[in-house]
Formats: sequence, C-alpha cells, structure tokens
Amino acid sequence: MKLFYNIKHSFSARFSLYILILVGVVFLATLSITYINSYRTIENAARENAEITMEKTTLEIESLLSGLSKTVDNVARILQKEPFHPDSLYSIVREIVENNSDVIGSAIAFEPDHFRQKGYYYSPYAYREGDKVSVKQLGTVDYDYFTKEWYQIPKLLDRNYWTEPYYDEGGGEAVMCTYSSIMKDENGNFMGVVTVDISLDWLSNLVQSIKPYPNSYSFLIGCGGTYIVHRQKNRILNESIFSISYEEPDPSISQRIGQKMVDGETGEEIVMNDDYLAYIFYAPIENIGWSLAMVCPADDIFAELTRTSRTIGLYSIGGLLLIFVFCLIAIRRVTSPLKSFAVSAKKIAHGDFNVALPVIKSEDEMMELRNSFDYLQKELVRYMDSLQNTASAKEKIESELRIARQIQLGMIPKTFPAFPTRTDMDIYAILNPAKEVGGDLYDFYIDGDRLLFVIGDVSGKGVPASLLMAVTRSMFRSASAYLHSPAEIVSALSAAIVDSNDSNMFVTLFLGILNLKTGEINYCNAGHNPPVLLSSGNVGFFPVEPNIPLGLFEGFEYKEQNGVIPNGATLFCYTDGLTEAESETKELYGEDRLLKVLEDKELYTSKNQINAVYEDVRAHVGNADQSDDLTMLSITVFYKTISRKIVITNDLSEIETLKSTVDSFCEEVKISPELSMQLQLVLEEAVTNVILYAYPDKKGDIELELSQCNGHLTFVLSDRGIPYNPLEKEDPDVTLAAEERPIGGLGIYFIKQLMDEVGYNRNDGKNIFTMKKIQNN
Amino acid sequence: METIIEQQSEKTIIKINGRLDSMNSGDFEKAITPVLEGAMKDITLDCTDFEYISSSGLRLFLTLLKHSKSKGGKLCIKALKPEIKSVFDIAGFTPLFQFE
Repeated sequence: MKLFYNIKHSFSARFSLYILILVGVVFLATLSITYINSYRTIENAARENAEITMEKTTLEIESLLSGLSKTVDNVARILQKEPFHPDSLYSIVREIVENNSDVIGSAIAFEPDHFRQKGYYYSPYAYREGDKVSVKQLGTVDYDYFTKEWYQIPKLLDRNYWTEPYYDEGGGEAVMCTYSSIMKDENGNFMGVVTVDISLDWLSNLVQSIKPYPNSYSFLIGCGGTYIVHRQKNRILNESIFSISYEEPDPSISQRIGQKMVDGETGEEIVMNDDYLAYIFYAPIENIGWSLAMVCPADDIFAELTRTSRTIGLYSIGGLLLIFVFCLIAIRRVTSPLKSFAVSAKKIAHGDFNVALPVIKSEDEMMELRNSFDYLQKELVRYMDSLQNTASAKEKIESELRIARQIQLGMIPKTFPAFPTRTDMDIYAILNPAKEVGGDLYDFYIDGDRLLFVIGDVSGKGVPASLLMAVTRSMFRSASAYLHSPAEIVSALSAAIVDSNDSNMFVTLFLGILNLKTGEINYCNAGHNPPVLLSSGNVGFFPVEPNIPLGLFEGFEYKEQNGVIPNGATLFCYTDGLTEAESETKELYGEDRLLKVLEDKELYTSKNQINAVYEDVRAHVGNADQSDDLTMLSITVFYKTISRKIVITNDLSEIETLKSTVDSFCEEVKISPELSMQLQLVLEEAVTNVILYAYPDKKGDIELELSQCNGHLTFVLSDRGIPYNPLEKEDPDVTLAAEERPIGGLGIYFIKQLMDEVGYNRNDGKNIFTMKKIQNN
Repeated sequence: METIIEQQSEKTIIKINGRLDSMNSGDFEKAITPVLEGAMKDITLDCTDFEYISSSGLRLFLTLLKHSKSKGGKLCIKALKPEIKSVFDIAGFTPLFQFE
C-alpha cells in the first residue's frame, strides 16, 4: 500500500516507474529479437550438422557395402570366365572372410547337381567361429539353400541383390544381411551365387554411435519400413515404422515420415515425440534402399540458448532494479527543493511573507522557480501594503458616510410619537436610503393648529442627492416660516434650486398645510407621486395637479389645490422608491399593489400602516438589492373626538377615580365589555406604575387623556416625575415555571401586549406615555 | 373587594368577590397572610364572583401558588370568568394553575 501511495504522491517514484517501464520494454524487445535470431541460427546449425553427420554415416555404410559387393562381384565374374576346381572354392570364401573384418560369412552356392561329383548341393561356405575362420559345405538336406531368400530372389530377379536382414537358422546362426552376386555360364544360364554376410551388430554400433546431442538417437529402416537398427532391440525385424505408428496418438505423422523414408527422400520434420518436441532428420542409403533417421530433442538443440537467455534475463532484471533505484535517488535529489517550496508556499499563504526560501545552487529550472517565489513574496508584501492603504481609505470614507447618514437622518423628525400630547392626529414616517445617504426627504412641524408637511425625492441617489436633499429641507423650513401658501413655498424652493443647480438635478415633492381643527388642507404637488387617501373604507389616490419638479426652470406657476381630509381619514404619502421597488425578477412593486395592501389598513395606527406596507414591499423585493431610497409618511387626523381628561395625584386610592373615568368613557364610545376590561387593566397598570415610582416621597400630579375618533383610541399619560421610560424594561419570561417566576414585572408587559402602539417621550420635564388601540367592534 | 377564607378539613377555600386591583391588593395580601403562614397545603380560589384582576393581584395569586407548591400541595382556581382567564393567558399563568 505504501508503494501505491508513493507512486501516487511522489513525483520521483512515479517518474522512476515510467523509466523502469520504458527501459524494461526496450530490454524485452531486444531480448526477444536476439532470442528469435539465435533460435533460427541454432536451428540451421543443427540442420547442417545433422546433414553432415547423416551424409557421413550413409557414405560409410554405402562405401562398405559397395566395397563388399564389388569384391563379391569380382569373384563371381572370375568364376564365370575361368575354369576352376570345385574344391579350390573353399580357399576363395575363406579368403573373402579373412580379408574383410566386417564380413561374418561368405558362400559360393551352385545350382543343384552343378558338379556331378559333388552331388545335389554344392556350396562351400566360410564363416567366423570365434577368432578363426572355418569352412564347411553349407547346403544339406536340412539347409535347403535353394529356397532361401539370398539364393532364390537374385535368381528370380536375375540380378545381384541385398537381402533384408534375417536370422540365418542352420547357416550363420545370426542376424545378418546377405549380398548375392549371380554367376552365369557361357550360355547365360543361371549357375549360382557368390555371397557375403554382414552382421547387423556392426551396423547397429555404427548407427547408434551417431549422437550429436545427449538425448538424441538414430534408427535405420529397411525397404519396407522394418526397423534394422533401433535402440529398442525388440523392434528390430519385428516392427516397422508403420506398425508402431498405431501406438501413437496421431499415426499419420509416423506414417508420413515412414512413407517419405521408404521413398528414399531426404528431409526434416518437427514432431511431438512422446512428450517432447523433437527434430527428425532422415536420408536414404543409396543402392540398398534403406533409410537412416536421426531424432534430436528440441530441448537438447536449444539447451545452450535457454541457459543463456535465462542468464541474460536475470541480469536484465537486476539491471532494471539498479536503474529504478538510481532514478529514484537522482530525481528525489533533484526535486527535493520542491518540498521546501511547498512548505514555504504554505507559510506564505498563512501570511508569513518573509519566510526563507530553500537555497538553490544549480542554474536550472529550480533556480527559476526560486526566483519566481522570491518575486511572489515581494509582490505580495507590496500588494498587501497597498491593500491595507486602500482598506483604510475605504474605511475612512465609510466612516464619513456613516456620519453623513446620521447628520442627514438628524435633519428629519424621527422621534415618534412626534407630538405625544396631541390626540387630534397620528403621524408616522420612515426614510430608508438605498445607500448610506440618500436623496429622499420628509419633514413636518406644527404651527398652532396647522401641520406643515413635505415629502420629496431628489433625482439620483447617494451623496450628490443627499446634499440637495439637505438644501431642500432647510429651504422648506425657512420658506414656510414666512410664506403661508404651499404654491408660494414650492415656487420659492424651485427658484432657489434653479439658481444654484449647475448639475441639472431636480426634486419632486408634495407639500401640504393641514388644518388640524377642520381637516382642511392646502397643498401643492411638484411632479411627485400622488398620496393615497384612506377614508371611510375607501382607498384611492388623492387628487393632485402634477405640475413639474423643482429646479427644472424658472418662472413656472405651480398650481395650488385645497381639500378636506375627513375626520379619522389617513393621507399616505410616499416616494417612488416604494412603487418602483424591484423584485429579484426586476418586477416593480407598483401602485396597484400599494392600493391593495392599504385597503384594510384604515383602522391601523400610522406606524402600523407604514410597517405593514414596509413588510409587504420587503417581501416583494426579497433578496434583491434595494434599488432606490424608500420613504413613507402617514398622517391621520382626528378633529372630532370624544375625550376625557383627568388629573389625579400619586395615591393608589385614585385608582377608583381612574376606574370610574374609564367606565364612563367606555360607555360613551361604546366599547365592548372585553375591551373595556382590557383598557381598565392597561390604564391601571400604567397609572399604578406612575403612582408608585414617578414621585418618590412627594406629592405629584398625573394627567390622563382618553380620546376616541373613528375607532382610534388614544391614551396619553403624563407626569412631571423622575424621567422613566417603561418601554426600556425587559419583558418577563412568561414561559418560566411557577417556582422561577419573579413576582412582578407584568404590568408593562400587559400594556405592550394589549395595545396596538405604545410610545414614550420626555418633553418639557414631562414623562409622556402614549398608548393607541384600534377599537374593533 | 371581599375575601372569605374557609378552612376545610383538607384544604383552604378562598373566595374572592369583586375587583382585585392595585388599590386593594394590599387588603387581599393581608387577608391571605394566615393562609401563607398556615400549614394547609391545598388551596382552592373560588372566583365565582370575581370581576377583575391586574398585575398586582396576579402577583398574589403567584405567591399563593408558590406557597402551595413548596408544601407539595395543589392550587386550584374555580369558576374563573373567561375575560379574566384571558389575562392569565397573556401573562403565561394558565399552564401554572389548575382550573376547575
């Protein structure tokens, strides 16, 4: 496993392995080619060797046999021509035997009764008996040579003849071959034969001495395929190459070879001999019709090649291993700095830019790598420095923008309830710049019974818009102080902006002056989105003359309009950041959706109205970026109210007064018994809180105003005691078990839970606690 | 407000009539002092004629509950009007008490 890990993760191991494989393949190819060539060469050498050996042997046999046959032929010829005495023939045959060591016997046999005086048989015969040569008369009644092959066949064929080997019973008493040379008289009649016998032992020795390889052997077959010489003695004369073929798995091989041998062909075969591969070479022995074969096992022929190949193979494996180890060490040494570079790179990644790099002495790619690393380090240090500078510059800008935002938001009234003691109106607004600062604005203030308000949108976003927004808001305050008509104020603003507007920005706005006693409103719209009026269950756009935005050109006459906001109705103003808020799919929020969401919001406090719309637009925008500044301003007027006002002292017995006041108020405005009890509870908790804590150890007055208009209930509790904001008190954990419940802390929690809106202001040394509730009868 | 305490053999029955607000919760506290000092652990608050409760009253209900629980007893509120029960709900008191 470690080896596999190394090969996968170590460059040197992998590269060494590649080299090993490549060299191995080259080695193997070279060895294979060499082996094949050597194999052919050895095969050819074996073939040549076999040819030479066979030729030599056949020549030897042939020369011996032909020598003998000539001798006998000579004798036969002489006996045909020259007259002789029959007895002299014994010395002739004796001489033949004595002069030819390979001859074991010789006879001169005549036709029956050839010599009258010699009888029916006459055949002087010389033969070896131990070391000496004996003679005798061969033909007897028991040995009727006229029937023997060596006599009968030449006579029939009328030519000289070599017999097949045979056992000469009653004659030579041995396995032999006989050559017979025929004799004829002057008339051409057959007279008899002169013969020589040769022992097969001799042939056998000669043939078996042919042994070019340790396990090779030779055999000799006669004209009919019979074994004349074979290493298995029992086959001689008994079996033929054809007869033994039937003992073999595939008889056709031996039969084919046998046929070719019998036909006197010279050739070579590669066969499976028993269980090994063998080369069989064969050649005929001329004149006699025999064939000599030599069987050489392939293992023997190629023994040397096999041995040499094995040795070369072992050396090659050793060599390959050496190359592998050498490569591994060499490559590891060359690439060892890479590991150090890896360590350095890791340290650099962790911020250690000044980490020491490995020392490289060579001038190669490693040096180049080191130089690159060095460059990388320096560049990183430089880059980080510049990044830090950029970041700190950015940080500075961001911090300045944050301050600008605070200043901008500080310009607009954003403490709510804005007028806590006034129960004749409910006003709430939010401004959400898309960026740190924005170009939207709203403002309002009360002058006597008049509410002056404005909502506007400077073209563009960000810092440039915010500057013009600040200017516009300031001018609204100053212009409205001495101008009393909205159109005049708007015209004055427009003129001032045109004057100082070099960057062609403009402002849309809606400006109104609302009489809180009558609901009458004078207003002027300068290219701004028309507000929505929520009144008596109806929701619709407030009728406005569009006019044109401020700052476009001088001298435009802005038309002023007037109308009445019904008692309890709401004027909902906004900027296009609301209706043009884009969703993730770039869909606009739209006026229709605004009207729809406001449909059931008439009986909401202004704050809850705006929060509801804000939630809806947030849901629409989803994860998309806020595309524009978003501003909403909601004003509800209550100029016809039912109200009670009581002043009590900080004594718990005043709870009784409170109770009766609340009871009569609830009765007058027809509040349900359930809500009535809730109001009792809420007001008691609020008042008790003030009684107990506002004036420690002294007397003090507590004012409570209860007011109702069109289902809007407003309660304002004020005192001149120590500053205390009950809303800052943390809510109790109402899920705790009885044992863990602290005693107390529930009063303010009840108020928050049961009221729709609560607010606290500290104005003119007064704690003003405001509670609002919608009366859902 | 009127508080009637009845000691039965196994439990104390406190009948509260009228309103329990911050003004008269002190009276109620005094009235139940014997119960808080006594050994009786099971308490039943009979609210049949109980009309109103504020946080100061709830505080005393919780005191009674803690007393009863510390003795291993039970506190049971009987015949509480639904509009008062809703105050218990807001305060998260409903799971703490047993109602009959």
